[in-house]
This record gives sequence, structure tokens and C-alpha cells, in this order.
Amino acid sequence: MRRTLLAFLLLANPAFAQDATKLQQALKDTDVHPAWIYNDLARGFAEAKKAGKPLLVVLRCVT
Amino acid sequence: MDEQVARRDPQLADLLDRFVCARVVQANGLDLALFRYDFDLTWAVLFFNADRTVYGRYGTRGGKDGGELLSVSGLRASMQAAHALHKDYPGNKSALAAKSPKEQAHTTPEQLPGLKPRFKATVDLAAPRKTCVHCHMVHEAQRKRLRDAGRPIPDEMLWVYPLPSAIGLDLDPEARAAVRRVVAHSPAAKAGFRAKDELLRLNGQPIVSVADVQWVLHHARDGEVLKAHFLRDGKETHLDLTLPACWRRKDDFSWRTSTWDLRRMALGGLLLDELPDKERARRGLSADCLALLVRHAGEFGAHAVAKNAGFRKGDVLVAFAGQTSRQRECDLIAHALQKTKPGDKVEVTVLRNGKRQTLRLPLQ
Repeated sequence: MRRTLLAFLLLANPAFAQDATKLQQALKDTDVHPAWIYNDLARGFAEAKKAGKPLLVVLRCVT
Repeated sequence: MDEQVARRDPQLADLLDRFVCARVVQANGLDLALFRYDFDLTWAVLFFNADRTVYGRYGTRGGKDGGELLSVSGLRASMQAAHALHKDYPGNKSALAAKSPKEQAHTTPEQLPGLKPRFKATVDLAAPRKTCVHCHMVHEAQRKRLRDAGRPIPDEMLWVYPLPSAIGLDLDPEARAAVRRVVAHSPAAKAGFRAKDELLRLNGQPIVSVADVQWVLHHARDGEVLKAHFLRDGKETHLDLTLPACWRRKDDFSWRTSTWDLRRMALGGLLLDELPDKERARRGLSADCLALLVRHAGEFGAHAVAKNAGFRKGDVLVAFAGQTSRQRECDLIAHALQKTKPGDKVEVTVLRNGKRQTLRLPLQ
């Protein structure tokens, strides 16, 4: 069920279905702690729900 | 600030552990119903519940230097306040309704007129800098839509997310929303605010940061009365804050990246600075007359319209479309965008080498 929801969210918002690691490298935005979910809001909301924690989103213009 | 947060600086790590943390680096595909914030910021934080309720925002800027109103201690205080709202959720859901997602005419930035079809929902990894929608483009597209339709751009779309200083409140960037100083005779002073007051709620909305105060102000109208709840000497109390006519105009939007496009429309690409009083005196200009120095004249494309009309760096504008009283650049831009239409030509008098010269400036 959770996988289906995640897949739906990714398909619903193609921007965040893009390969986050490749984007991070292309933008040279590599000095980021691995605990951060990179450019993947659907995963952020899904993990917040699973963990029962609030979601903190940093919006950063790096280009 | 961004580095400290991205690297999970030890000053923040304990609090970051209490959140799921996501970093978003593009506006392409951003859900505009969900992400409503000051798009001129190059660094901003939003706090959410997993059901997409917004707890609050963090991130404030008021000048060319992007970092002077940010601090680790301020962010910590905001994170603590957001986490407290999460602990009380959903009992506080109705108080958060005005902060939360709202349907927009265009669901993502690349669907906005002017950005479509130049930008796609994803960034081209081979050319990320050219294909990334920058957040400030959202403000630009919203204003361009009105201007191109020949409609005036209202104050609410020019003086966006006003700083609390616009109503006389100087809030401490090192704290959540604590009053550092109250400007005498300002709306805040008339309402009864004092230094050291700590804002808790404004217009019914819980306040987790200075950005949350800006959020409430952004949506407030002239003449509106905002109920403010705050802590004073450890006790909760409240007052009514009345917003007078044109209160937003105390703020200054000239630092904003999106103002670059307003300069194209209103000034043909000129960048203007106020002439200091000493220089005014030296040039025989009174303290109450218009005197805006051309710091830069755009050189390319639609930003070179003023240059092509004969304006030069170093000119001093002393009359603009009948306006001769002292004004800032942002006031002149607002006048042009509210009183003229694209294609109009306005007469502008400049002082150059001690002589007055009148030029005709085509507006876009």
C-alpha cells in the first residue's frame, strides 16, 4: 500500500521523480549531510508520516 | 547559514533529529498550492505535518545582504515552536488553516504565463542552470501577467511579504518573534507594543518566526485590525493592531531579485539610488524634491530601453511622468506600474553635467 502511494506521488509530480543524486552532482551541491532527503518531497512526506515527525523543507537556490 | 544547516551543524543537530528533513533545490514542478512563501528568498524553510498542513515558515531578508536577518538561534527557536505545534496537532488544526495549502490558478511555476513553455517540470541535467526555474521567477510571472494585460499592479503584489518594520516593529533575528524596538508614532507604537514583547499569535495564527509575521502582514489589507497575542513579563496578553492606509509603502522592495523585471517595465532598465543629502545640496537640489541617481543603465535587449532613449549612468532624475517630489526608486516603480500602460511614453527630466534635459522613456 505504501509503495503504491509513493509511486503515485512520484508520478503525480515528475519534478521530484528525477534522479536526485544526478541532480545534486549536476548542481555541484554536494556538501550536504546524507541524512537530508534530496529534492524528493514525496519521500519527505512519506517518511514524516511513517516516523510521526514533522517535515522540515529547506528551499535553496543553488544555481 | 545554508552550509550550517546542510552539514547538520552541531548547534542544530539535536533539533534536526526531531524532524524529517528535505532539501529542495529547484522550483520546477513545485506545488504552488503547498509552497506559498516569499519567492525572492534564496534560502527558506517550511515546516509541515505529513498531511501537508503548514506549521510555519522561516527565512527573512531585507536588503542586498541575504544573511543579516537569519541566525542559528532564530532558526532553533522557530524549529522548537514548529515542533511544539506538531505535538499539539491536530488540536490546533483550525488555527493553522490560514497558513496551509490553497488552490492556485497555476499548479506549478512552469505553467505560469511567461515561463511556459520555456521551462519544464524537470531540470535538464546537461544544462541545470539554464533550465532551473528560479523561485523569484514566480513573482515576476505573476506581475508580468497583469502588466501585459494593461492592468495596474497593486501594492499587494509589489510590497510583498513586508518586513514588520513597515508597521514600526523591529523584531530580533536571534529570537522567534521578539520585539527588539518599537518605532515611535508607528502603528505598532499606537497599538501599544513594547520592546521585549514576544509574539505568540497574530490574526489567530500561531507565530513561529519573523517570516510568519510577514506571512500575516502579506495577506492583510489597509485598515484591517489584527489581534496580536504576546507574552509580556511572562504573562500572555493581547492588543489590536490597526493597519493604516498605505502601510506597506514603508517597506522597500528594491533589494528583491524580482525587482529587476519591474525596472525593465517601469524604468526601461535603469537602476536608481537616492541621491544623498550632501550631493543634493552640492547640486542645488532641495531635500524634498525628486533626486534619483542612475547607478546602472541596462545594456541588453528589453533592459536597454532607457539607454537607447538617451539615459546615461550618472544622470539624476528630477522629474518622472509629472512626479517631482522626493521618492525612492520603489515608489517611482509603483507609480509607473499603477498609472501607465505598456507602450506609453513618459517625459523624464534628468540633471546631467549641471544642466536639465528632458527625455522620453518608452514603458513596457
